Amino acid sequence: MRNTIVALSLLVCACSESLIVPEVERGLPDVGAGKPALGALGSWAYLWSPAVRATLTVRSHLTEGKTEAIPDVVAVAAPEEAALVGVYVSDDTALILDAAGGYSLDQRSATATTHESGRWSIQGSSLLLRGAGDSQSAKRLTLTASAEQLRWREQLFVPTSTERQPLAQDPEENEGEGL
Amino acid sequence: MKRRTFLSTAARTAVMASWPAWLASAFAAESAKADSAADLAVLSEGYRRAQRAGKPLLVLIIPANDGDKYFRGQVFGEYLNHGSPEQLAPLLLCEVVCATMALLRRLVPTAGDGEPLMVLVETDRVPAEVQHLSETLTARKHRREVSEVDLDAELPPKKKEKEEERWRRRYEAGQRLENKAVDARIDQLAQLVHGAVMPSLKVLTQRQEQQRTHAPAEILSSVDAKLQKAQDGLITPAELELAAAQIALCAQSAPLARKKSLWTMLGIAAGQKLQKSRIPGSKWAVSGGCGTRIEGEKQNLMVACGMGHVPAKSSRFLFFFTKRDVL
Repeated sequence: MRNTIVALSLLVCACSESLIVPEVERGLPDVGAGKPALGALGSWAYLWSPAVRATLTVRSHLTEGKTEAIPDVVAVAAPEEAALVGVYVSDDTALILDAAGGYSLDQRSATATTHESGRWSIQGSSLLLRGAGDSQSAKRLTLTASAEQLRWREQLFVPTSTERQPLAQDPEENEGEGL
Repeated sequence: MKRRTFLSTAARTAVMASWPAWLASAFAAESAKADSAADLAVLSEGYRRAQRAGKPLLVLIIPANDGDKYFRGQVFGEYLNHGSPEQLAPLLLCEVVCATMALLRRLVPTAGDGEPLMVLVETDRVPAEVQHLSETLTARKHRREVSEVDLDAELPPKKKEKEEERWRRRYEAGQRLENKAVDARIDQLAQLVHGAVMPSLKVLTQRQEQQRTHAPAEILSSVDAKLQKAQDGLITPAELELAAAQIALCAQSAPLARKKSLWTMLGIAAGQKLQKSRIPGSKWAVSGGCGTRIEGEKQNLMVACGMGHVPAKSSRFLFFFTKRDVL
């Protein structure tokens, strides 16, 4: 008989995931996928047991006024805008993201060079290039968190890298040297 | 038939004779574009280094006019080679590069007009904030322009002075006046940099916070520990570079002796960094007036006596000319 009641209770719980008492929901930890089932079980316990109700009421009073940091699980680690400023190249294409939010894109082919300019901005994990003038074209580039690479279709843009500057001679050797 | 052959040959010869001119101009145009692209890449890398180090970018401005390039390069050379550690210390809180204003405006359109001595570009936000660092520098007087009255005022003559003694005294007086003018210019540049990089404790605190968000945590905690225990001598060159603002902030609130010691450490590190390697966008060169030798390049002695006499403290300077300018 007892087993039947337990099995019946579990069945009711499983079928009543929409039954969630607000006090129970607030007290539940963030456990992802298991949260609806826990909420249903807790809600039935809340309704049946005066002890559970008292515990949750006391707990809610104790934590009242405290603001807990909500983990931002959806936010993508987008780089700050200033980290993107610079010159990028991809084969015969040069992209300049300037420090005022403007961009210029020069694509060189065997026959001609096309120039495009406009404004750039970060949207989530993408870099949006909005063309100026009549074209009003928009390109959405994928960017990495470190802002070291930008991808548009098959093109991979990387920041320019010149050769390391050779060391100057020891300045003390040149002191007073006259030519 | 012979006339036709002659005309054909003449036409071909005329075309061939014109080749070097247009080829040269075409190559010059391509070379100019390549130089410009390479210079922009150097500037871009400087900006990115500054941004990733949590520092502002200090741009030493290369004049557009070739006639001003030597003097501007010498002025910066005087400051970087002969500034005291305290005068050089704020430079460690920046990333330093050289560029023309035209080039700077391509990457930082808010850089503005005119041709200041330097531009400080903040790298923490877009649009970037900029400051122009301008000053009318103490002029350089050629030896010929210094009067005997000025020389005698600098080193008064002795009684019964012989001709040879007077010549020596006036030569020494001339050198003293030159050095005074150089020191005045160094002081002017140092004050400009100090005033822009750390005009107040509030700005210095902001620079420290900006640097803290970029520097490796282990570096910051190591510097924190050493500063708290007053083990300043154990701070490594890498720590000085990556936590310069943190150390400068600590120096500001330290007793005078420790403050001076910390500033000296920062200044020596800045001097070593900037003197012993090229400042991106320029080359170090040496000249005594009748020739210029670019450091780090073989067979580069350029004989040109246009500079005339060069004071000893101005002999090592930033060379702003490109190959295109020199050829």
